[in-house]
Amino acid sequence: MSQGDKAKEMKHNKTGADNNGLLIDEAKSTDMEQLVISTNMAAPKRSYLPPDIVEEILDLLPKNSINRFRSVSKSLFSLLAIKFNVPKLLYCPRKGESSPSNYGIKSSDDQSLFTGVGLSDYIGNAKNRGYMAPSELSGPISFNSFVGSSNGLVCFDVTYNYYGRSNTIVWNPFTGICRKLQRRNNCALGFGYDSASDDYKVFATTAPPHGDPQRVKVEIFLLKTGSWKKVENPCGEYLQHDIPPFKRMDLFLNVALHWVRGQSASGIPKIIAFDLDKEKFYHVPSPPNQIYPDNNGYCTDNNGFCTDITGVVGDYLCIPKH
Amino acid sequence: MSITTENNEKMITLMSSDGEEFVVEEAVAAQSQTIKHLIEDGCSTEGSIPLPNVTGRVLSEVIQYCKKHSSSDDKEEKELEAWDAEFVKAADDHVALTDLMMAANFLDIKGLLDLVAQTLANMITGKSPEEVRRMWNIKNDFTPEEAEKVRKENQWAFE
Repeated sequence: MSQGDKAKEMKHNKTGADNNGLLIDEAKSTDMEQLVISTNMAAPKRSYLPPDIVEEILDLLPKNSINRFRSVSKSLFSLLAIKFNVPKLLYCPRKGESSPSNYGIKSSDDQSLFTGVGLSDYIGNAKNRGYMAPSELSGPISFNSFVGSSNGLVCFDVTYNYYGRSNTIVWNPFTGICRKLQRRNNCALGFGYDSASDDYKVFATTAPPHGDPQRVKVEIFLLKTGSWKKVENPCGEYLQHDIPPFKRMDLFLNVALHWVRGQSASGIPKIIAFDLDKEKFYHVPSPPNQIYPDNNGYCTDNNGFCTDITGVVGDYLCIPKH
Repeated sequence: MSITTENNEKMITLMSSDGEEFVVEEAVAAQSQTIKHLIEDGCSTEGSIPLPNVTGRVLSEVIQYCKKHSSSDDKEEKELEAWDAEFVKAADDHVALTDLMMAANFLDIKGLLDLVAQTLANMITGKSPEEVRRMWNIKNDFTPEEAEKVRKENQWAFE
């Protein structure tokens, strides 16, 4: 190290010492004056949280304090809304699909998150892995179906044996908190997140077997408003005679629920999607390779996973190739 | 301006926003990806590298960090962690830490950025929204109705 360099260092050590203690705050107030976004006279110190670094800090906060930061300001609120620090969940139906309670859910890192048969297995497994069991689910309950999952929230359908009443439940496995929805009867259900309205939506539809678009009914439950609403003209101008009876599960991807449905006149099953934002059905072009359903109308792979649509991986729908 | 020391170590001059000059070894300065790229692009040959976003006080702290981290190897990881802990403790004030983090962000020094971000995150964990607002003069721009809505959502969302 050269002489000059040493001298420089000493000088800076001195500067550092001068700046220690209360003087720092005084000096900073002046420096920061023009950057201060609001003047709060009660504040002991004036500073400013630059947008460039907010995200870095928020990323490191424990999940259970995220809530408090949502209420700090609107900009933090919207930033946190897109920063749910929870893994995305996706799922695969298992072989032998007679009971819909056989659905397993896989987390995006491909470790089985909820496996087993029935609600108690899922909850037991979820608890073993550090997730919180659904609150408010007490007494004898039958699991009817798994509806879907999005951003870590899980939606499923149950019947309370004692009352004979059915409810659709949205469960946050990270907190255990549930929201209970009044169930729509004889409906196919779906669940997804609509980024346009920043809301989770539960989809319920009834469609006649032969798909007269005039008779397809769709209702959507918005978690923010907490109520069901009827969707007007969900079929739009398209999809003549192609609306499926929706008995099978759906897959959620890119704001839309997806189904592979039956066989069209050409013998190729079609992929139909419902856009949760625009609230309309639309067709998704099938991949070039044909999909062959088995006798029961399911496609299965060697591992026993239903490959009707196998799942969602990243931003892709996965469909079997034969 | 490049000076060479007895050890044949190439020196770089950094200039803070308030005109203070710092002569440091190139290896130290190159801990900053921003400076490294400036050197590679030949921006240091004509004189000192100006850093208009960083004050002398903050820059001296950043250089302290870079010196320590360029001279230590992996074996000293434990010692380095202890040094890091002391380093952020010395700047234990969210205003100073915010400045340091801004500098680390601008200079692109990942280790320092992560270190300070974690320190700030620890500092605000457990603080009330009002305390966080006071720390950084953040305006509560929710109307009472909106605040109530957030409170309701929070009840079932996360926590």
